[in-house]
Amino acid sequence: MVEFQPSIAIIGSGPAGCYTAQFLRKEWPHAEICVFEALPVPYGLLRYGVAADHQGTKAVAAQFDRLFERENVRFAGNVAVGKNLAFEELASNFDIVVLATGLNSDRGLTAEVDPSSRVLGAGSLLKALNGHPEVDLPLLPNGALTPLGERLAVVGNGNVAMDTIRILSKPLHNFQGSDVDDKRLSELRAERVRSIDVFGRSPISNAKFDLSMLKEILHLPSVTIGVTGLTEALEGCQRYQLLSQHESPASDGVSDSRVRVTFHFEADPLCVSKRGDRSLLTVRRSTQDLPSEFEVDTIITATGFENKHCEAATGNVEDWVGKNVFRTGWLSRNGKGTVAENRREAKAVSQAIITQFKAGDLPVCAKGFAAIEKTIEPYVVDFRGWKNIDSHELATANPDRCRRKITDVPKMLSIAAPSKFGQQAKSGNMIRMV
Amino acid sequence: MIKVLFGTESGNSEMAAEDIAQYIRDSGESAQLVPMEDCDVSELAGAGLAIVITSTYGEGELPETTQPFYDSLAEIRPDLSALKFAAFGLGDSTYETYGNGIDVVSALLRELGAQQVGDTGRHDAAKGLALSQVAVDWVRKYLPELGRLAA
Repeated sequence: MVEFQPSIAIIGSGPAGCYTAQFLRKEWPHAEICVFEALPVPYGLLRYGVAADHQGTKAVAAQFDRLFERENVRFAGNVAVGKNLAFEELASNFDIVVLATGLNSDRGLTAEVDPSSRVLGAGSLLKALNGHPEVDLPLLPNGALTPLGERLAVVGNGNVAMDTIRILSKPLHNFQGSDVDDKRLSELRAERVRSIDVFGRSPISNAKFDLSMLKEILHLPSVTIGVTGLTEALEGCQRYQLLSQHESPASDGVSDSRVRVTFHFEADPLCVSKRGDRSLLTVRRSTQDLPSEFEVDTIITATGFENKHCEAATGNVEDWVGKNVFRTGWLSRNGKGTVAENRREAKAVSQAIITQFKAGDLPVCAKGFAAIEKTIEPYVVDFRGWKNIDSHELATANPDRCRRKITDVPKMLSIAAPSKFGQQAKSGNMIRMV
Repeated sequence: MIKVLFGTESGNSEMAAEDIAQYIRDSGESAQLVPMEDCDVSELAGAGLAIVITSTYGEGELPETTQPFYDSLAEIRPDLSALKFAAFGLGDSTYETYGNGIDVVSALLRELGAQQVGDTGRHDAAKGLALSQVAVDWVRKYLPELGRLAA
């Protein structure tokens, strides 16, 4: 007798969603599994969050390709649940629904911020440099990205902050083999970046970045390093050993073309105000009685992620609940964890689903994909459609780059399935949100 | 029978192990996939022939499923003089400790008496070559020898 296997919908094709599909597929070789994705292209943060010069990390995608190519997991791209397909319709037609939609916005500063000052989110910045179709950064009247300026501040001490520092201070020729969006990178760095001051609330021993991320910055020939606020760390703290050689702010040599990167530990932003054309970041430091002021062109916040409600586009993910609805990845982890940590969580969530299903705690016998196929037919891009986009991006890569990402959705669609979407591409414009 | 042992963090080593095992089976030998966390190290010597696959994590640490395997080997110290093994490592040369994990595990296996067959295979994620291809090309090179030993 063949065991009954459930129909499964996973919303979001980033690492959390794809790992969940992988673990559930191992348990149920014949279950219907469909991964829904709002964009025509899969893999979420692997494609748009992992830095463009960390291709090794992005290569996890090879595991996920296999799910769709060989293991009969269906990809339904360009279907925004809540917009193109009502959540209720989805949830009533699949036995199991897994939400892996991640978090959509930078958390920003808790300090008081003058709205006319220039504060950007690191997530938005990395997303833009990863060629995301939606750009959430200020634009010049000619449509180009507004240059960040010469003097920058980064608030935050995690790996996203390290990615930001590295990408903004690395010479163009060191991006060999990456798929960075060269046009956007050049626009953002149009006024040569001269200094980056990095502010972290914790002492160095508790800073969240990985040692390997710090080393990558220290090894860049294009930077000179400075440090303030170092408190003696425990014996064997490698970051302390690495950074204590650089104590003092990075020197301000006039002829030096390197980017001065200064790490300030135990430095807590108090407020952001405006001074002339620049923004003024006021910081309380453990080593000084009075707050210090840093005058910069742009402040980049790398303080974590959150979900900003996007009612018009997809409705409220918070309201998507039900006995058969599960959550995984950044959506349930509050935006924390590396790719590997999210795999661990996907495994745990999959185990919980399997246990509940086997205990008979879940309603069964929903119709599955066939029941919603008609609703999504006008939009859906299947895995073959994505492979068409993928081949195009690989074939059109610039010299020294591994891929050139298509940055507008209508063009993606016209390449994915010319006969289906050809018309849209002619009338469509690039989506830009500011 | 060739045991294909793997330790993983992101799932990449598991994929390489699956491909290597599949290639061995397609070549007419038998292969058994064994996650390192399920491996009883006191029975390892009896395996006769193993392929050991692990990635490297963070700044050269062992991945989460390799570490307990390594720790039990180091603690129990079984006599592995009857074991022959081939080694394949995954790493990312973006970080300076590229491929370190497999060297750490191989060194301990050799110290316990196991004999390594062939050169350690390596995949560098930063190079852009497909892991599957590199893993299968490596095992193809050593399979005749491994097959002879397995017979």
